[in-house]
Amino acid sequence: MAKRIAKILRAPGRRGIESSPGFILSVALLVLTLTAGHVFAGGFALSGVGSKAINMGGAFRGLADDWSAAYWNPAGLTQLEKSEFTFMAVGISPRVEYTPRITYGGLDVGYRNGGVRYPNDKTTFVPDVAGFFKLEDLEGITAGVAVFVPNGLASDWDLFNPSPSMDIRFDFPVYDHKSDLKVFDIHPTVAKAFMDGKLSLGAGVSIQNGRIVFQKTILKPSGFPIPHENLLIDTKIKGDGWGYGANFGILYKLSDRLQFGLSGKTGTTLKLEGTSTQVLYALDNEELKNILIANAEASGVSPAEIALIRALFGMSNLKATPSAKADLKTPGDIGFGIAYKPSKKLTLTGEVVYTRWSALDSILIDLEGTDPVGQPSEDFPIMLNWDNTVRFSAGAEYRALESLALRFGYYLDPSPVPSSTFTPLIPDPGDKNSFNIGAALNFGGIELSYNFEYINFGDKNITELSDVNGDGLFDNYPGLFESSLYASHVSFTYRF
Amino acid sequence: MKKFAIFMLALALVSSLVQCSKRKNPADPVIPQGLIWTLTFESRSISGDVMQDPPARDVLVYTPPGYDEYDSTTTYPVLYLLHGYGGDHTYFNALFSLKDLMDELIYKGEIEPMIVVTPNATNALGGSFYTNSYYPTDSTQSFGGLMQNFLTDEVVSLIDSVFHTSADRAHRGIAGHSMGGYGAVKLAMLRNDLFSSASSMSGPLAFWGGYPADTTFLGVLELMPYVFAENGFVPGNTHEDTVAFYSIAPGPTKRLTNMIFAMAIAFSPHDPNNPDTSYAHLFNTPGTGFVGKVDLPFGVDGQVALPIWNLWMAQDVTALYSAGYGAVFANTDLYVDAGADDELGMQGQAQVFYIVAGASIDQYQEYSGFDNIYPADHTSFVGERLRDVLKFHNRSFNP
Repeated sequence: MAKRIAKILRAPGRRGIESSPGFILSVALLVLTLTAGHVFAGGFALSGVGSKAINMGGAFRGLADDWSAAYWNPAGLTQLEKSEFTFMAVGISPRVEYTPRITYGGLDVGYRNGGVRYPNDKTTFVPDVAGFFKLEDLEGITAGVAVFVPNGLASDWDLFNPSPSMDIRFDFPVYDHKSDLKVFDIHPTVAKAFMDGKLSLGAGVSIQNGRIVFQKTILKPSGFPIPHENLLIDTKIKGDGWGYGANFGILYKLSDRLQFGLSGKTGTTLKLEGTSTQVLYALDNEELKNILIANAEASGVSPAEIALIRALFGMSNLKATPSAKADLKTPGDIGFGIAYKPSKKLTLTGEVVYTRWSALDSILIDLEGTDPVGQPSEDFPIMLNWDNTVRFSAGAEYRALESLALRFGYYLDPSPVPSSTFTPLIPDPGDKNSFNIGAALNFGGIELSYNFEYINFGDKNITELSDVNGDGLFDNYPGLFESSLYASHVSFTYRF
Repeated sequence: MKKFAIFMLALALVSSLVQCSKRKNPADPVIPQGLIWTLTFESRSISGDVMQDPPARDVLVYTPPGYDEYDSTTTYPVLYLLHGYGGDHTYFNALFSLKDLMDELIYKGEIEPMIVVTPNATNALGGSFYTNSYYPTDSTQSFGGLMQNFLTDEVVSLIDSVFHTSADRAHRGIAGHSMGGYGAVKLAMLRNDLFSSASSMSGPLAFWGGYPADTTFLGVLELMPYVFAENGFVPGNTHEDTVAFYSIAPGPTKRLTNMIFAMAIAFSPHDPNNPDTSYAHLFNTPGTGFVGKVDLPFGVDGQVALPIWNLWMAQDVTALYSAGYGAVFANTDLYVDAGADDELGMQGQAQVFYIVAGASIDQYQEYSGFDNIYPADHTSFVGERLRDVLKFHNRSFNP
């Protein structure tokens, strides 16, 4: 893809990239649309944006010297010596394990308890694309557009296993718990240097598009005796929408060796619209149906309720597709970073960032229509109650040769997800220790870089079910969660 | 530098391998399947009764995986599982997935293979209470069928003759839910020669909790106000009250009234030669046109009618236990449970039986529900309790 783009850029008669930001944006969107797939999340934020920044543990607000400054600290864009175009791809493999222990009051209701479960393992690729331009006529100003994926997650789980005794007439989906969230950020950014370059200010606008798919099994008490005490409803929600935010940054160079960065971003609220598909699984037990109907008739219940019993034992599942709306918030943050160059070859960076995950108290899915049994659909809350976090990062770059840089990084990032709302759909179980090692090779105006990232997660052992909002639906998944993650970051940068 | 380049390449390779590897969830176990048989036979004990209940009776039989009808050298213990009021031989398999439960427990090694038998012991009003129904003054004439004899004399013989059973007391147990729990404990007392273990799930084990006399717990009598309400009867002594009293009768939506009449068919059918009709109530059986009379254990004033009530108490498990029958439980394993939210008051009855017969009970438990979502009412937790019952009898069969 990179070669193809470079060829196009050099083609006779074509306008140069520096005068064609619309072209870059369209290419970027095309690339993202075609390749962005299943993604890992910490919370649901990724490790960051940009190969170099992630390679240095995300300790980049104080350095911010490549295109990814648009994400970390837009003021740093003034340090770009040339215009540049970057394409980056990250292959991510989360390795989550979950040993469910889900019972309702000691009652086994159908979850696959006892053994280790794995999600549907996939190595997925997250692209970022950016073009930034030194505006020669406006000294000290750098402007451009980056398109990146700051947030995303995905996991598919087979967690529910209707036992034969539940008498489900039709096969239940294999992967019954799914999440797939992607947030694309189209990020026009501008930065200007002041005080002979000692002070830079920058700001950007986030135009975010979010897409979400969410699926889980809901158990609806039936009032029938065990083992038919629950009706199974496979619920899937799918939607997309737009949201807007901004970021800002300050970079101050105290000397040639030492500089500081302060930056932050606002939260955004993505207005999602879509549909919900709810399938209530019909029961296959003629004798039970007859007993229930006889009891219902003896108890004098209404014909409508008896008709409902017949429908529950019918020859097809009961299905409803109410429309769905939801506001999905992404968190704001503020962070401070430092970059120190003890020698010409070595750069050390450090950073601390505070992320306001507590803005995510819940996602209320507003459903309009009827449910599978013909009643008005009830809104569907996804309880979060997340905690704010403080992440610490440190990084180093060593220029072994003029053309070769070696990079190392580490960060410690707590999980914002409390036990009371933790689910395998957002598999961020505990403190993340991220270790990074990589290298970058420069030749001509081109830089190629590779970074390997390993994240070790703290285990999470949840012992009790929790119903945070008291609606009778449980908001967490008891059991033991263990996780690690492997990621390979590859980037291509062309400077001109 | 060269070494570093090699290291980075190796890292990329390892990382690629790790990232491409796909882990598989363990395959679902293949659980060996038992079989469900339905036998139909003509019962001598039910033929010729006044109510003319159909003598053709179904018996549901579960045989475990590996059961071979041609292999008579391998024999199995038998659990007789008695259905509740309103049920029939399909009761446990339809409501509580008996076959799947048995297959699962055997597969997990939680119980050894056994045969489970559920006979159809219902009658036209929904339940026989596993009692020989005679006119009180004529023990030769069956009124509503000799349901005790049906089970202990006919079904047990039938099963032992058709299936490869370990046909001895040590390998024969009896259990039931509700009316079936009552029948199980009573028959284990009255026919202790047949059964070495008995279980009651939410059974009415103490008709009158305060035996011999207590007004704080009324047992079955607690249900009477609801029976009155179902019939629009308000106790009193006016002409209208009397008319309403004698109008008490079964009906399609009178669940408790139907059950009280079923108990009266078992315990106190009205003898046509008895001139005292003070407590006699007419009833007919749906679909057959049969019209009969039973004596209900209360009068027009709503108070207990002792002559009739005493007939009921003669069949009460707690009373029988105290009258000396309980001694046989010294060599019988006994299980009793109830739900904490039993709407028919069986928790209280189980507690009273425990007070009286606690020394004979090997396992007693009261099930609590789960928040307000799954209350442990009369039937909701039976599927779970059945697990405990099966394990209990398994321990008895395999000490």
